[in-house]
Amino acid sequence: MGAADEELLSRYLDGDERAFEELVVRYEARVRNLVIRLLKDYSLAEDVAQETFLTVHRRARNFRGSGTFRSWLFRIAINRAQDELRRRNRRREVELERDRPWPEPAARTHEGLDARWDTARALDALRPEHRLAIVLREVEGLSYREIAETLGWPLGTVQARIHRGRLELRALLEEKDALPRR
Amino acid sequence: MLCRDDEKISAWIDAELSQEEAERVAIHVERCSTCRELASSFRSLREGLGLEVEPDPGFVVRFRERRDEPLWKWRRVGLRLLPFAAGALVAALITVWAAAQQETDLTVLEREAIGNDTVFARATPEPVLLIALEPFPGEVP
Repeated sequence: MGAADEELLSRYLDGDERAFEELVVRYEARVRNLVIRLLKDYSLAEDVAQETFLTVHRRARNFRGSGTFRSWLFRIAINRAQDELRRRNRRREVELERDRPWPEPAARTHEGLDARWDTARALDALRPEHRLAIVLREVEGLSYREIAETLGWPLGTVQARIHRGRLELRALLEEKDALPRR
Repeated sequence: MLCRDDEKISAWIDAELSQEEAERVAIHVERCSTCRELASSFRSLREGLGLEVEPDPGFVVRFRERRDEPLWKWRRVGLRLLPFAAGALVAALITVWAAAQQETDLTVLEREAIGNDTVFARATPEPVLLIALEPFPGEVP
């Protein structure tokens, strides 16, 4: 593969902008994906993702290196997404996501596609802490330790929230199957 | 009825247990249909998740443009909204002067530097969407 994240960051701090751009290319899809899962909104993902990388670009010197670069990057993405949520709440543009009704399923074209859609929609309905834990684990593939680093949670809390998130997902999906067609 | 310590099932499928513990759970799962079913359903959840976005080669190009913009240019707002944004900026500055020790949106980046999200505790009650996070230990305050 390429150079390690921390090495690229180090090169950037020595003045190599291309090294930083390599980090952007490496992580842009994952940051956008994380932001989408947090905001449940595709349209804002670009802005928030860009702001994330700009923040990292500005604050690179502050990175102490006791955790991984990517846990720091994801933490900044989460903070940026939460800033956007607060702005949104002030504008009162969104109802509480927990009260959002279950949307009508899209046209059923393929069994596998349908399952993916359902799980993604169920993820949107999870409690925020559970959703965050599940996204970092199952979507971003972080270890428990990295999730603990990223969020500042104890390891036990990480494990518990991943577990409860999965139980909640399972319950939501089972409930949906049991619902009559609307 | 779930077994006690069923949290270990999650840790097991995530390969987060020590080898000794993993073996113990594996043996248990073999004998316990409830836990076996739980592990299996958790694994199939994983198939429904994953990256939903494709890599976007244009992203880094747009990043370069934003990075190279002069600082005074208002990035997030169109130029036609600039007077409105200027008015909002004045209002925000007045708020800062009026409440010297309170944190506002203008100090978001400073808060980033110290990873301090305790502002959530001081603001008006936040909706459940937001998650209070501890300071990030890997960043210089």
